[in-house]
Amino acid sequence: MAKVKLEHIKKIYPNGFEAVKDFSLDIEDEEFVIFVGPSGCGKTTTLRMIAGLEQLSEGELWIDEKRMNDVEPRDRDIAMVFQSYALYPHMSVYDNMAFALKLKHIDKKIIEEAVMHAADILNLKELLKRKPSQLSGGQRQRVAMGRAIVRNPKVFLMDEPLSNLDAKLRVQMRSEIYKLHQRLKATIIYVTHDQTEAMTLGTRIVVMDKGEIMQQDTPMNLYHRPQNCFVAGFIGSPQMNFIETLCMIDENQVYLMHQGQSFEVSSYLKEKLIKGNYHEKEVILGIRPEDLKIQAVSQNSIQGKIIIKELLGYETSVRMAFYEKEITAMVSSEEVIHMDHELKLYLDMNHVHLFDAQTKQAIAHAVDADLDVKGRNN
Amino acid sequence: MIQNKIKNGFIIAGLILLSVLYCYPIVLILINSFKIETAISTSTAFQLPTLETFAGFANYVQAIIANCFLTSLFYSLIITLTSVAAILLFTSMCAWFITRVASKWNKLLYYLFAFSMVVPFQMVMFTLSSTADALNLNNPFNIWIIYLGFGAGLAVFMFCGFMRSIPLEIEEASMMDGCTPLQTFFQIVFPILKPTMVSVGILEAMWIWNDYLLPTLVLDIKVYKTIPMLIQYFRGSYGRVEMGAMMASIILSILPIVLVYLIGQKHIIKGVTAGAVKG
Repeated sequence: MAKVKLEHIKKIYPNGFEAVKDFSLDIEDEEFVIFVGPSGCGKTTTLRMIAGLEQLSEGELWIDEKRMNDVEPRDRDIAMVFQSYALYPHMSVYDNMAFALKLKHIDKKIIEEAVMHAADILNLKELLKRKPSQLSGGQRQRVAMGRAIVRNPKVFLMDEPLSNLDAKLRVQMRSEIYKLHQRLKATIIYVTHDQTEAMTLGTRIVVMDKGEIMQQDTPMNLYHRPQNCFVAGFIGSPQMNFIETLCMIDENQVYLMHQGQSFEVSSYLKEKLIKGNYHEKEVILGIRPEDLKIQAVSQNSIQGKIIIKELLGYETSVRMAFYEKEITAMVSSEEVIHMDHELKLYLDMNHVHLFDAQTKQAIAHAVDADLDVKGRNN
Repeated sequence: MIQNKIKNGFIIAGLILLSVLYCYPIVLILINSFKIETAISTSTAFQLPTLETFAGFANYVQAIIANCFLTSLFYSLIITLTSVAAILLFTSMCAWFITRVASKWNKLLYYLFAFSMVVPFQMVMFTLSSTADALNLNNPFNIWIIYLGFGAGLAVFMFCGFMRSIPLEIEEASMMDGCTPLQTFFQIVFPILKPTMVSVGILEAMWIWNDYLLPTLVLDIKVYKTIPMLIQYFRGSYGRVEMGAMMASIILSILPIVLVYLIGQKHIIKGVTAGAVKG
């Protein structure tokens, strides 16, 4: 297994379109790194550049201290699992898995051992004689994984490998991939637009937008400490609610005003806003749907008419109109909710996030208050 | 329901009529190939051989032995096999390059190939025959280069159509697995192209096997005679025609190509329609 280092990588197409802009990333040995972002954000292009299927326009790519910019894909010792699986249709499952080793003229017995070992891990032993066209989607996906495992490469690249599977199979295969990483201790770079996959699989997630890294961090930190509005909105489902407010600082009292309604922030956030000199500046208040509660509290609450409710089983997603905005909340499905009725939601100010309205960068996260106190005591 | 049955009845009747029309010349030749020379005439063409007129395999023996049919068969086979092999190999590689390397020159190349299909042979045949003489292409062992030129248009057109339906990711996967471009072509792309290979191969083989004009213009007729040239040779001079041997030769010449067609016919439809619809 190996370390991968991307230094100021850019991809500019002949028509001038910049698909990847100044991308730098250090991937440690045995890490499971996820590239996540909306369609067209450059995540697959970056992966293809690591694979050698796309030329780098600028920057340097290192695998295990070896510069890979001009190295052919076949010499990079990387295996890739494609979105469409890309199995060789004229070969049996066995031949598909053995193909890379046969090309290296490895002894037949060793090839057989490697294929049988991979087939054992992936439960493919009974399918070895079949052609890809005789397999189901999930089986094909496993063969594609097997083809990669057999090679025992330095790095595994996976380009949305679960996106062609149905929802149930996707969940099943997701845990298979997780177990595989635990077992192989491999360096894996995984591309997806599905944030659930990203959150459950990755040891580190790289959130991308328009060819740039918006934030790279652990799944927990991305969720609790998004560095900007994009990450805050992208990670979490349903997405975070944003309320544009005006910050008013008056003799150590800080209020966030929206349409005449004020929200009182915690002392930790208050301190950050005063320090950042946000008086009379616009601040975006972000709150996740799960941090909005149905409680009879008049302070820090918002009221609006319910426009959509979706029963999800354990919880109900409620969307209500709040002035010109729509606010989403996740409430217990036991709550009695009627369409077109008024609903009052309390904002849990210990879980809000504040963003600078101009730069869209995070000012502070209420959850950091505890850390701050601990830090001071230490 | 009844309307559908009537409609199907008409279609079947039409198809039977068409197949009779197509089969009738072959049946006519087959019947007459078993008649003695004097019994073959326009008025008795459709009569089955009688005890007096039945020639057995005499016409076939004459065609094979007296008229050097086997030599012509050898030349026809050599020309057809080398030409078809060259067309399949070079045009599939060419189509791979055209479809996988996006450039305006390749687009132009593709249109040039497509255009070559509509250029009539008669337009180039005289310059071609003198060029063939100059380049020593006027023998059965080198004529494949000329056939490659004339057959490339249709072949490239068909291969390009199919190639576009092969996901690029399969080739990328082979590159990641350690293939060189040539290995990718021969170990991955070439086997996937099999249905189109068969259909292009059969179409080109039928044309080359039956071609009369090009070998007549290019080859030295006194030394090399392909089967269509041999059949024409039966007409002899002063209007004398060896009808029995000629009929037998035609039947013998049809057999190999019918056999090839029957073996590969299921691939023809697959190959021609490949890439037309998403699989």
